Amino acid sequence: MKNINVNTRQQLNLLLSEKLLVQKTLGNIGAVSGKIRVLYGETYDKYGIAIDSIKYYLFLEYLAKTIGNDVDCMIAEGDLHSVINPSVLEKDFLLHEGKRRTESIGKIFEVLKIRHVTVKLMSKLFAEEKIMNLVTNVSNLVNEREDLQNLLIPTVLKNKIAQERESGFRYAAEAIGLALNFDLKVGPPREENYDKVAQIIGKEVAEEYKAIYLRPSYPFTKDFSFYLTHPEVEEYGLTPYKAGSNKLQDQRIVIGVTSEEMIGDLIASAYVPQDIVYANPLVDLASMVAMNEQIRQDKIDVFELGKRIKILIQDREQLTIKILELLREVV
Amino acid sequence: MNNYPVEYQKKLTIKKRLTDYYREQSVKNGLVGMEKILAYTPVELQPRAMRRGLVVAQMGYEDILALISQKKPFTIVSGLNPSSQLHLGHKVLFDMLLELQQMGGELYIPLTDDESYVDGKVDKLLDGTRNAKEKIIPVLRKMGFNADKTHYLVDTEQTELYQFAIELSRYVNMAELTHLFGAESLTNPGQVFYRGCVQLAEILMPQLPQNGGPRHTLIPVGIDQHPYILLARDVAKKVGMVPPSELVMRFFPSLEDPERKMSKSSPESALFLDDKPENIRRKIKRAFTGAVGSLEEHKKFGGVPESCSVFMLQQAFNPDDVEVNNLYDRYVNGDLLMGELKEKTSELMIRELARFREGGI
Repeated sequence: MKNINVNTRQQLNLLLSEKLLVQKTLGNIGAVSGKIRVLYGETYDKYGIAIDSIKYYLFLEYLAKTIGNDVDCMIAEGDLHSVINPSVLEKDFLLHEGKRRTESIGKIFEVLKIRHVTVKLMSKLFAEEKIMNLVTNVSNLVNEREDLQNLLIPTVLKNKIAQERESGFRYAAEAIGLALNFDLKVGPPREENYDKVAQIIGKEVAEEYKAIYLRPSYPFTKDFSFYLTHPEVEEYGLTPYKAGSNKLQDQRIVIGVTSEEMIGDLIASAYVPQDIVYANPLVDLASMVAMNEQIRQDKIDVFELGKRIKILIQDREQLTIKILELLREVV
Repeated sequence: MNNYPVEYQKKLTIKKRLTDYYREQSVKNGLVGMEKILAYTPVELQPRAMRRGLVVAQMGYEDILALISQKKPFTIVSGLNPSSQLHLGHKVLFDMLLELQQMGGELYIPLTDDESYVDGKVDKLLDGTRNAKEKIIPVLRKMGFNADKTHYLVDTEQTELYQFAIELSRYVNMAELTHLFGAESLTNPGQVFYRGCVQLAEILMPQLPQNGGPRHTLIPVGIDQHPYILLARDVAKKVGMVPPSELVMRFFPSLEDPERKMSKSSPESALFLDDKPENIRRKIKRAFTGAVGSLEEHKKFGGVPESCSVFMLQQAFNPDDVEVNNLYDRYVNGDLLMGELKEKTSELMIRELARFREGGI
């Protein structure tokens, strides 16, 4: 086991404290050591890949480059988990979509020079004995302990609680079991609800649970009152990897679906509050452009990253050009 | 321990007490702070009182903002007790009502002559009615409100209001009323009927079918009037109406003591709309400030504008945001002397009142 050196640790701390990119962390991230395995799990829907997913792919690469070469990041593409909810229609289409989606993500990695990240279908991951054992342990614990079940309730829609109880909170147990196989998880802030349970279970079945939550992914809106009348979206953002999250697929950029004209319009007409700590979809786009620039030039400089994001936010025209350039490559 | 002079510490303590008071009242009453409203609302859609911190909390104002954003109409109800003359505390409210009306609000102003009487603020019921019609409404008509979208309702002349109040009486019980208002505010049957039914009817009347049916209504209030809104929200749900939204304004401080209200019953604590310039100068000259007495210490430590009754006038009435911010910074840094502030503020208030007398706002 090899601890990360002081300089790297400083860079990592700087990255984790960049509020335009990272919302919060769980556990002592600086204590990671040796070969570090990082997980980002995503499901999907029929609407395609939202640009917000790219923020996570780029972040994983950026994180790996910040820490050094002993980092392997994996995207677990939740084919089975995308159809686990009984209310999901077009299950066959979505199951097959997983394979097509992993291929698309592979191409995105290629053009964006993402070298430290791999993508794997969850159905294949769950065929691995080590992972299945951990998932089984987690499921058993959740089924035995009402306190854990109660903690998982906020992760479930109210009308689905009975159904989830009946299934032993299968979705959550599998997500937690999978995450516990890794040293570190990256995800959207809403996943903190799962992770409270993962942290408790982690102490019993694995090592300390660690997670990084990126700043929420926000939809574009011309309406200044949108975030005030949608407090949950304001707090947690949209699910980055589900393009149709909250049925707002028309208010976000979906790769290969949203036209360039529409992207220009979304960016130009978006209402954003003056203080960038509040919900602001331009920050998401700017952080993607800024990370992409440094990854391509192989010049990781966390301090410059924040400065570049702030500059890009101020110049929507430039931001639009940069985002369209990025998208033209990945489509 | 810090080395601040005792007098400066006292001013800081006043600031803290005022901040804590509104925070505690908001939490206790389930109100929401203004931070997010101010963060997301474009400055041009923030009434001056709001962007200057004179609105301290809200409940359901997001719904009103959604209508403003879509350029759709909404209703504002703001009652006025016509027991005596108007003062500047009222003008802060009227200024905000005017701005909200310009954003799409249809304004209902119930003049609560019944309340004046049942609370013993006037000797005869007709005194309140006469005050409302002869003194208050003529002043309000000069405020610049859109006449087509402003309704002045003298309570005792509103048959529809009392009929509706009687209807609502079955949705409220005495235990609720006593809990909300306290027995000391319900000492005679008139107070019980007014607080339990009439005020509710004033708030919900714009939602009657003949007035356009259920719609979003905004009620700007002082924190002491919050129980009325809670009751109205509860009853609105029971009768199939939209629970009203609320903006809570901080009380306008007495010129003599920032922790007390500007009050009609203490003439030196208040500026009245018909005060002469020399009276305005005299009252402001004697007013309480957030600066320490020693010039040397003021320059060294600065002042506390939040504890200053004079600076509050600048916050409320100076139309120039840049100048107010500049005065604030100079005050805090100790560069602004109280003589200059009082002189500027006297001129500001004389000008404001003159504009009012000329029929503008």
